[in-house]
Amino acid sequence: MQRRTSFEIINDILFLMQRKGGKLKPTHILYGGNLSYDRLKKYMEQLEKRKLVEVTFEKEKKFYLLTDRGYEYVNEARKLKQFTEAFGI
Amino acid sequence: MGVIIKFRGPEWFYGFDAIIQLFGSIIALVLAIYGYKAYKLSHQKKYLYFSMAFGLLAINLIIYALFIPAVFIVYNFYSGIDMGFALQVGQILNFIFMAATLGAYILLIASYAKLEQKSVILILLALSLVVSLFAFRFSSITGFNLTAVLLLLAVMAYNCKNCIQTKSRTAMLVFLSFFLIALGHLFFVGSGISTEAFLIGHIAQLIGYVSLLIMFIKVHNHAKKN
Repeated sequence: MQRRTSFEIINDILFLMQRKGGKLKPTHILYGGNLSYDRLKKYMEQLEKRKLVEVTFEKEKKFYLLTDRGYEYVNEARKLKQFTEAFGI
Repeated sequence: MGVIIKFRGPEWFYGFDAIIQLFGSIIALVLAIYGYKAYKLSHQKKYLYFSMAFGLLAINLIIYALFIPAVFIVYNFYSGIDMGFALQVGQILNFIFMAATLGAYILLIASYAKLEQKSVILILLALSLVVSLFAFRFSSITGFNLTAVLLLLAVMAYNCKNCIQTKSRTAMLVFLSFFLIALGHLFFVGSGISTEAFLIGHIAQLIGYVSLLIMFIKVHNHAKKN
């Protein structure tokens, strides 16, 4: 199986978050996104910087929230994914 | 020398060829914009080459549909323009059309083959320029169109593999569109002998463009539903 590019990993994380209602615990992203802890940390920091996700705490538990900008990104990325898959590039 | 784009079809079809190519240019432009969006999001070169390929195709088809007819319309309506000058401009546009068409197909192959080395791509583009120069020098419709078919065969091989792997309708439509565009080029080879070949070539390419449009609409609608 081919290694995922960082673009594909970011898409996988955000698509997962959207499917699960836009709010997930880090461990769920870790398992669902098939990531190591270090990589999860690296990508979530990137996503936070880009304001696609934000961190929130509920009963002292950490959650990641998909922002409006994140939802916009997911919609656009989904369209582009289908488009590039149709061409096979 | 160099007149590749020339009306060779039945009289009643005059002008329709330009409309078909203009339609194709709009589709190519939309695909180029989408390819560029994919590049902006992913920063992957293959999407940039894809976008450049369709951008070039859009420019080519506009040259075919608008610029070349415009040169001859201007020449016919304004007596002050020298015939030699009009012919020269027409020939330059013909050359740009050929070189950019072959260049676009090479960029598509670069995108599919995930070619990263700029030097390899530049050599391939230089080769397409040499072929275009020869075709231009000897007014070879056959040379230009057969080279285009060969390049499109390589693109179709990738599309075919994608169709088998994904079994998706949109991938099938993309394969069909490139097949029909290649078929169009093949018919243009015979357009020097038969006016019907010119007509069938354009109709094949029109169905190819429509197929790309249907694929695009399907992708858009499917993404909206999810």
